[in-house]
Amino acid sequence: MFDKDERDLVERARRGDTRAFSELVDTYQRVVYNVAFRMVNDREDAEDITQSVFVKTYQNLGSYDSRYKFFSWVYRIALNESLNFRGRRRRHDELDPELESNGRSPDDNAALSEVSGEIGSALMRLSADYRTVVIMRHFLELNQNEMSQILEVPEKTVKSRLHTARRLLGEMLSRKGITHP
Amino acid sequence: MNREQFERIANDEIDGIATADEREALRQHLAGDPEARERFRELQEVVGALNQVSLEEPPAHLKPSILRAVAPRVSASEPVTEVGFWRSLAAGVFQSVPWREAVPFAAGVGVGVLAIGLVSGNLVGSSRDDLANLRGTMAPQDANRGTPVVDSKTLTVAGATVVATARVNAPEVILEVEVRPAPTGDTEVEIATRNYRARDLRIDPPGAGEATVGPTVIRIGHRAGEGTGQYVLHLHREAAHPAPLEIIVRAGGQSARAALTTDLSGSVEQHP
Repeated sequence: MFDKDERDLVERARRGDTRAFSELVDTYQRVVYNVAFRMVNDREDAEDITQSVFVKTYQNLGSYDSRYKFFSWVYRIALNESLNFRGRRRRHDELDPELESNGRSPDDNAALSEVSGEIGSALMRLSADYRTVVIMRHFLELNQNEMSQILEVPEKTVKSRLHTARRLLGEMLSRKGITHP
Repeated sequence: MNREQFERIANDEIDGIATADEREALRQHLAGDPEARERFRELQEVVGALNQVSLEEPPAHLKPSILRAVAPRVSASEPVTEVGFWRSLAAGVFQSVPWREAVPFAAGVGVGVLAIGLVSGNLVGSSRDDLANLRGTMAPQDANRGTPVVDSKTLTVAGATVVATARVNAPEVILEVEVRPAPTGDTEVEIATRNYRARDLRIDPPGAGEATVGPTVIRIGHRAGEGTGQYVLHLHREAAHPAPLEIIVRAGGQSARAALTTDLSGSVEQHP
């Protein structure tokens, strides 16, 4: 989508045009859903988070600063919602990260490919900071400058987190036989 | 090249942002250091594995539930044009409700909003799943006079009295629900509307209570002290011989139930 088209959609949505907002949902729901899914590793929770992200996006359109890219704003809400959700869930359940990846239904497990499932499990063992940069880089395909803007941390920090996250993932995936030791 | 430099340049190379000089330095380093080659291969495998993971498609019901969740809640018959009103209402109602819990209610919101849009004439080409911008006023209050009454039931529960009347001009059904609330607490009325599609809702006087219109159920909440309220629902029959409208009234921990036919083959009473 061209920036101008998106700006127009955002402006219309801001004025209460739900058809314009519907188009924005079309554009971003897949990515938001996948961010949420990879952050919490549960499809139903990812749906709840995605809905919550768009409700918040809609409610806060008035405070969106159009000098910044709309996707950055939406992704930031998505990441925050996912992290907040996980925080709430952790307080509720106090799940062992080792057990979390096994919390899916048998159907879910069957549906996940081995690699995707193992990566999902491995991501959940990373701290939120590391998991976030991996998701942003590899699932959202954001560059380091965009990640830096969204996370509001220096690019150097983004790089450092990404490199460490990759190294930790490498060790985990190697133990699982996904990569060669 | 020390380990820290190696890790930075190797990652930059993987990300496609290494400079030509860095790339050459990396090539030379890898050529002379088997351990570095092993680490670089592992890094490539990790990134390769991550890149193998494709994005999943969100479920088909997600978008409709999102749109319903941001839609306004039907609460009065007054014309509504302020976006801020919708936003504040949505914020209050939906802020912390997960979609699984919100869907039945939000679905009602969606249909209710659609109904207002249809009345206003500004909702063109929309569906229940794809809400449009709504502007408009409600139908005239006395438009129902002269439409034949097919059935009427009175239910009394814990001091609350609810009179439900079905007027039918097939396939349109006008359901009038008069609520005289219980002296204390809320009086709730639930109307099962399978086989019907809600097209319009009016509350008289505005603000007397609240109603949510869902695909198969309409819920009315009327508070004590609000006085008598009348809720007028325009329904469209979607089956040739639809099931009766089932009505449940709850107040003071008690409930009563009745069925209201909309079948024209029954006795028809002409009201002025």
